[in-house]
Amino acid sequence: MKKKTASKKLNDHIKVLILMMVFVLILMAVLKGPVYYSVNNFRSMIFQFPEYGVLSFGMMVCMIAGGIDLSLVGIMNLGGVVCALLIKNAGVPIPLACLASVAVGAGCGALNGLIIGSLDIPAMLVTLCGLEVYSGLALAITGGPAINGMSDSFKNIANGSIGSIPYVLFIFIGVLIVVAFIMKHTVFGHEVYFLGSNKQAARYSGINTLRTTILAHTMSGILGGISGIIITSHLNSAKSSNGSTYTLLSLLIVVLGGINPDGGGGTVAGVTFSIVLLQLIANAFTIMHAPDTLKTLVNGCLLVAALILDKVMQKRDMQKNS
Amino acid sequence: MNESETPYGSETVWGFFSKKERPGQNMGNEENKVFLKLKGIKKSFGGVHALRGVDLEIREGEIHCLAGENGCGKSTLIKAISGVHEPDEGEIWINGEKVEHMKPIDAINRGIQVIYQDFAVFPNLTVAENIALNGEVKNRKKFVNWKEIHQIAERGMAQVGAELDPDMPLEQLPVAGKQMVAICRAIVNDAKLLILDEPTTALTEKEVGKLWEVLRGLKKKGIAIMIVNHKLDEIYQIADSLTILRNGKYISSGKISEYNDARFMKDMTGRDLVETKYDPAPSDEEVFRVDHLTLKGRFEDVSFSMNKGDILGLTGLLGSGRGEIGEALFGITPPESGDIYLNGKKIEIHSVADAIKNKIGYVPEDRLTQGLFMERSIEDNTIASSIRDYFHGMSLNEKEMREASERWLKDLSIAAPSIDPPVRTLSGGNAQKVVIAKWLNTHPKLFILNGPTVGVDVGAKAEIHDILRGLAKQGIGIIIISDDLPELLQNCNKIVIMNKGKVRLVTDNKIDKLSL
Repeated sequence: MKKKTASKKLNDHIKVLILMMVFVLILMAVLKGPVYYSVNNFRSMIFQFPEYGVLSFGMMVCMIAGGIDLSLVGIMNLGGVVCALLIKNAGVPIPLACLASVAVGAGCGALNGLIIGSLDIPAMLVTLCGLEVYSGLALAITGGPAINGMSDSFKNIANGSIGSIPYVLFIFIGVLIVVAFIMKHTVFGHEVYFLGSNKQAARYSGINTLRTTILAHTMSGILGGISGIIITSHLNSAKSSNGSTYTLLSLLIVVLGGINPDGGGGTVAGVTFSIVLLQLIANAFTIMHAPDTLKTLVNGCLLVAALILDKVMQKRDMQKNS
Repeated sequence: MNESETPYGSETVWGFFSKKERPGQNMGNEENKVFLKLKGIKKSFGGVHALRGVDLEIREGEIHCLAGENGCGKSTLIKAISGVHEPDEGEIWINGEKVEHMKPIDAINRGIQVIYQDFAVFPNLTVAENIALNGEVKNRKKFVNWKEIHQIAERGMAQVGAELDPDMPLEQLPVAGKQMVAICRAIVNDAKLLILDEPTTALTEKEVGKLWEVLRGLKKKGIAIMIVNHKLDEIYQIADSLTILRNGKYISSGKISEYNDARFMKDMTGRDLVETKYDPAPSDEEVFRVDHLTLKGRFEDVSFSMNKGDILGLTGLLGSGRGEIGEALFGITPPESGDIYLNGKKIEIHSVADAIKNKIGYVPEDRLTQGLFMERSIEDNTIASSIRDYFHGMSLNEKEMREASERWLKDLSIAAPSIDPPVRTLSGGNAQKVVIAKWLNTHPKLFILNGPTVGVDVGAKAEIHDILRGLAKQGIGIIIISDDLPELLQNCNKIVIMNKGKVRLVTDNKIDKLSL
């Protein structure tokens, strides 16, 4: 059943993403074949993308709901700091500390959603403030310097592997499956789409818009918390300013992945392909020893191209239909 | 002044009922020069033939009505006349001169001005700026002369007969005011042919009367006017002549006096419409009752009841509280006091969730912003309010959801190839049927419809009425909130008339039309 819907829903946008991935893969095969297509290189890629991939799913949910979550990096670092402190200073078992990070994320997200939904303040403003507040809180807790040197087993979450497959890949795939299931096969997932498509009509259809807004942001917060565990383990260090580029990166990913910035549209599949595509490109730059600034430029161009492409395709669809 | 001919001179708001008065019909002037002539206009988009050979003739000083069901090609025709779409075939003659490859600016220079439904006005600018700035831009003025702007605006308003404060920002004006501004703007830009796309949809009866007055004034000045409309009563009130399109084809054209209701319906829909009054078998079984329902500032002490099989009409002017009662019963703005009984059981409505729990469905007034998710599929829209019913065990049963939507597509004869296209692609009537399907899928016990056939063509309107009658017979309480009195008289066996938030009259609809 899944195959059927997947092939049918394979929209133009995803086709373009796949085409771009193929293009990068072929180009790299020509330019740096042996280095690019080594097990080690693919391993290094897999170690990198889950932390911002999970974050992007949070951004995706909020954007489908008609909002945005700019506070994700703040939530991620606050969660990471709490997790690291509990393990290092309080000697809390790792699973419990991870749970605490997720709980912190859920709490921050719920607070975002509550303010957005009940007071009707634009999500962009609320979550921008959230970013400051949660980062500030993380900074206040640490007092400035990073928390380093957690146990090896904690470090292993994001750095260890089974055979040559990193653990984080399984975490990422697990998150992906859960998120995809929620968005497609639960009432809440559909309500998020309805809310983002037309908030008023959602209300007039009997959907509890406040509840859906809070839940969407809570889900985003939980994903932020998970991402906090991964990045803290990955760097074996927690501080308030880790991954500061991820806010824009996750925005880039979801828009490139075909999530409608106005809300209500886009698929988990699109975002997943977009995450992988960006990792392929980032890795290509590293291998080519290209400067980081150039990467920013290319990412920027990609985003603009994706936005233009979307509008062009939308117009074409409209004309077909009129 | 033909004041006496407008039915709005009298105090009764429902004066427009007297169809015998057709002020338009003897005012056409055969000798007037033809301003616009279209011959065999054809236009297709991809494989879709939007226009398949349309002829049209509009004379100076004539009010010409273009009628047809939604999707018949009216909008495409307007766009062809205004130069937005170039026709694939056919000829356009303006003022006796054949025009080829017309661009929008050519049409404007030849005096063709279109007033679309959204009026294309600037809400944050003032009345004067809206009226005059277009001309300033057109004349390639580099600097704005504020004194001149005011003069132009005042001159335009004087010509049209509109009385507006030139310094008022447009967003503070009611819809009718914005429309007046758009008309003034067209006039100061030397309109010779004024095209109005469904100008009355958002107006109250009184405002419609004022609009007709303005248009008659312009007509006397020799301006040709084309109105797109499919409300029969309004066409009789204002038009001199009429052209009917159906499926992109020219069907008929002629003086308004050559038409009667039957011919009009036949030409519009291609079939004879039999209009029968709804007359259910009497029943003592009470379905729904409200006692002393009050929401301060909106309505007060409203009481009515309905029995099994009843269709209740709720009417009154805009602001009379008719719509507010619908929103209150659905929990959008819950009532403050009063009792509500559904099927003999007292219920409490404090929120939309309460209304849904008690099986109350509500079709809101504004289909586009409140009723539908335009970008989502017909299926999604159909199950939007009942999606919880499909969550079994761990996940949503997609097969059941599809089957339910497909059933409604068939049962309500929604004209769409499948349940997958977005609702945006549907015509007004079919979109409204989707809203109805959404609620029927919740199996409501009480179904409230606010303006159920606004912007819906004649054919679909009759179909929607049939659906509602069928539901009432099944024992579902149906409340129609509308200002379309013919609709209420035809479909409701009980009518509640509101005025200033209070019930003024409850009738069993046995009385004659004219005595209202």
